[in-house]
Amino acid sequence: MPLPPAIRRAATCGLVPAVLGAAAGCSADATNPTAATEPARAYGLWTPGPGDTCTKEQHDRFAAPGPDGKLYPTWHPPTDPESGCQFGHEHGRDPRGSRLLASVGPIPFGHANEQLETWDPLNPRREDHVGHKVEWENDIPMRVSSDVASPFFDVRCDALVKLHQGTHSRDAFTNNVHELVYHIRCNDGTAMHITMLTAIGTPGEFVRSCDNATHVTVGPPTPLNSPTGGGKRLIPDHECVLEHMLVGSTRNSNLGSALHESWQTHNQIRSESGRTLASFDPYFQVPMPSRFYDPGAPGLVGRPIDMCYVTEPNGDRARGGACAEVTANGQVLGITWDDSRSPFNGVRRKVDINGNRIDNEDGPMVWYTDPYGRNGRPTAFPGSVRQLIAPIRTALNPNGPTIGSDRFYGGPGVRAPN
Amino acid sequence: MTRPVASALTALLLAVTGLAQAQTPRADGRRGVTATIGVGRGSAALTCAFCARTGQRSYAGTLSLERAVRPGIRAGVEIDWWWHTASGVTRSVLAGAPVVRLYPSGSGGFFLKAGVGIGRLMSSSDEEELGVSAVTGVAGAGYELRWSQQYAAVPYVSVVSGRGGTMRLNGARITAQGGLWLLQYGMALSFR
Repeated sequence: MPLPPAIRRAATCGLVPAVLGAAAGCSADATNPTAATEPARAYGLWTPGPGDTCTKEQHDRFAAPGPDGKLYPTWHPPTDPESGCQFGHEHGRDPRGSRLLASVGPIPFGHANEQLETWDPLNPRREDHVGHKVEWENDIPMRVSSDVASPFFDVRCDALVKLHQGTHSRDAFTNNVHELVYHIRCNDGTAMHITMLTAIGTPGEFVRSCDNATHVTVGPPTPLNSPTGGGKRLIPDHECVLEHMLVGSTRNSNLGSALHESWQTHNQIRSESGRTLASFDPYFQVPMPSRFYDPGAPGLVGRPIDMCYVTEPNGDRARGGACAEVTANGQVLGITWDDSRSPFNGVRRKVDINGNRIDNEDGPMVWYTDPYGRNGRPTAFPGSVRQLIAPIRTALNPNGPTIGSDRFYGGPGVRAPN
Repeated sequence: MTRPVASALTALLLAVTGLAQAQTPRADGRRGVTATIGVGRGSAALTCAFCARTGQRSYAGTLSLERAVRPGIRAGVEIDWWWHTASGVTRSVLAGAPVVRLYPSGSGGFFLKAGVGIGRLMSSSDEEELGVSAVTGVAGAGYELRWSQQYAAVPYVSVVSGRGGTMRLNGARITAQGGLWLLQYGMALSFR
């Protein structure tokens, strides 16, 4: 699909300048964007749904060039600042406040997925648009996980992360591969700028969130050769909803236990010889997703808002909290899962930064890996992704706290799928 | 202690000793070798671009041997220490330096001191060890409250500060621009 000339011109400088300001993406030493020449597969995926007042053209102006010269979708606000129209979805925190943006440039959504199309063309991994979620924080006070060292240090980091974390569909029930962009720079010299497809846990299954133990096998993953990764995807299922959301008259629903998602990643960037160059373990949490796994539902997807209206034969039902508020204690009927009134829309999220380790003392700083972060070489190869890793060996391994827990990314028109 | 630093320290000590022997002290009441032992409180910290600025408070002390080299000036060596232990972690500073004491008013009790040497801060447990050694400067002041020809009580304050050392945690380098810092105050007994 050729690019319209106006988009082509705009994309030479990251985000569309007329919308977000020319300074937002014109200096990028990490991704080294060049003028976009063709659209990536992730570009142009979104089309307006019921209630969305923006057009596809208004949406696609929010684009950024990737390191491969292709044009990618990137962060935009849920409401178009020019026209005031509503996109109906959000991508998290506005990255223009991150101190890292000046050096890494706007985040191209889907670049690792795009490279996989070259690296392993028979096993692509394509993700939707609305699942790309950005979070960042400047000057994060980090922990040093050492009793002998911790009182002496004040390690601080800037972090800018993006995970494709769709919490509205059945995708993550089976698919453990999701695009992760991870930028971190700390005052102790720790620095890495990583783009990869992270494999979270075991493909084809998830772990039941309300007991943090039961592995629920669902079906074949996409791609079929998805690697098994560290960590796990904690996702609620019907059992969680029955136990914690539909309750008797003596207590209120515990939505935190019923519907909490936690995607716990463990990521490694490895050289061709298998040596780990860098590793990091951010956890991504969503307290009110718009889905849960229901093996009895069409498409295996249950909707929390539907459960607000359900009464079990024994009288158990949703009581108090979000259900009571949105339905006015059952008086407001007919709110559907994709209604902007539904509180189950995934707009509250938080990221546990956790540990960061680098073992790259001999360099180089620039590595090219396959889309899964493996087979790192100093030179580019077909399907490779450029990674920047500080040429150091971290001794303090700064460990970060939770960021974003007090933020709310909802707004007018924002609704599931989000 | 690295070999070059040890060599430099030895050379400096020899120079100070030679200077002292070359002088003929006047009868100012400070002839002969004086030993000083002090104990007090101190606050120590590592210094680097990402080090906490707050020190750890604990017991500290000083030990010095000096002799007069000319009226109002004494030279010798000084050791400063600091010790902190809690929750199975022992933290310590040990710094040594040739020092010169200046008595601005000649026969008065007030003195200033300065010197350059080396120091090391260590923090260790059964499993881990953090440390840095660095060239350090020592500076301070005190006042001799003499109650006899042999003895004096000396309230003092002293600062040891160093930088440019390699800081390591369990053998892994944290930074090559590490340093340490120790501020202490206390009361010393001086006798000769």
